[in-house]
Amino acid sequence: MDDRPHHSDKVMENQTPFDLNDSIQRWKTTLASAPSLRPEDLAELESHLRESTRQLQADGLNEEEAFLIAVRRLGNERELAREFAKLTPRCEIIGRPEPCASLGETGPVMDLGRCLKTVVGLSLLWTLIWGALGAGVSLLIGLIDPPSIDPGEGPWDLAWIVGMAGLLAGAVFGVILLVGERRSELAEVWPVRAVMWGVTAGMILPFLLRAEVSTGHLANTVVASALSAVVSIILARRLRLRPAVAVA
Amino acid sequence: MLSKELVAASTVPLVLSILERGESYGFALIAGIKELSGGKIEWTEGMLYPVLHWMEKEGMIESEWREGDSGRQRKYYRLRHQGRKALAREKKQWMTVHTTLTKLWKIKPRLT
Repeated sequence: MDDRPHHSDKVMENQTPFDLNDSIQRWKTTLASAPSLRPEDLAELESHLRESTRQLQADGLNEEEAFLIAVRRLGNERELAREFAKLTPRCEIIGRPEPCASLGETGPVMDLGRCLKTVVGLSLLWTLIWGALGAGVSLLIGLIDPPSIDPGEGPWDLAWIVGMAGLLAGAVFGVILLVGERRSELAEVWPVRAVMWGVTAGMILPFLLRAEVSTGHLANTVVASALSAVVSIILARRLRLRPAVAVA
Repeated sequence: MLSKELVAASTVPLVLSILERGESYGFALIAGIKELSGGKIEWTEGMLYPVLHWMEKEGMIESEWREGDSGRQRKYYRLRHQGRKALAREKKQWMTVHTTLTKLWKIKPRLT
């Protein structure tokens, strides 16, 4: 072990070769390896540790005992690093993935920036989904009945046309969903209701695209919208940070 | 002891309420809450500091490193305007729950 000279004036009262500053330095070194703990966090934790140690000493423990208990109370470095790694604090509202940001807020809050992000995100996602559907249908027909494919109905053509319809459908879905639910993000909406809004968007879309609407068009857009709404809500919930773990 | 859900829900309003009385720092917040609750609410450091940092990010509170009465540097937190607004909302909500429960628990069911 080390046999550095001890600060005799500091250890005199309890006659142990324990140096608080050394110990705190070592403790900090082990913590410093955690990327989630910034130097400022370390300084704050050190300040806390010193305070805690002083308090325990005042309660009658010697410096070493006080330090050891104070360190233990702070929790091991892995636990601490994990807690600090969370971007948002724990928020466990049962049954519903309420965003942490709603802590301290009343009810649903419409945030324009977040709403815009949701609508743009949905438009892009729906473009991809609908584009893939269009290409898929074209490829499928190409396999089953090649002669029925007219020029301009190849996979790329349909992916482009249907994808653009998806862009509009996604935007319509986003807007009616957010307005209907008075929320800024999809993950905050009940899945069943999200699908219901998806079907609504699918019903509105043909009227936006053309004057006369056939049941065939309506069926296509409703099915595609319901499907896209399901994919969207699954993705939105996946992307949402999981609610934090238990309080120790 | 409080359930973890209740601890999670009450941390922010409790921190806001203590800071409404004046600035404070992590260690004092934990000690203060423990004392006020008669030892029934014990916050862990690993829980509190990330919450404080998040509240600061959200603009509810602000912090400042300063020398405390111990002569060492401490990070003091104080309420900002956003925090006061959040506290007012919290108060309303908690009082709603509180009055409702009080009414429910005071009225004895009558079997007539």
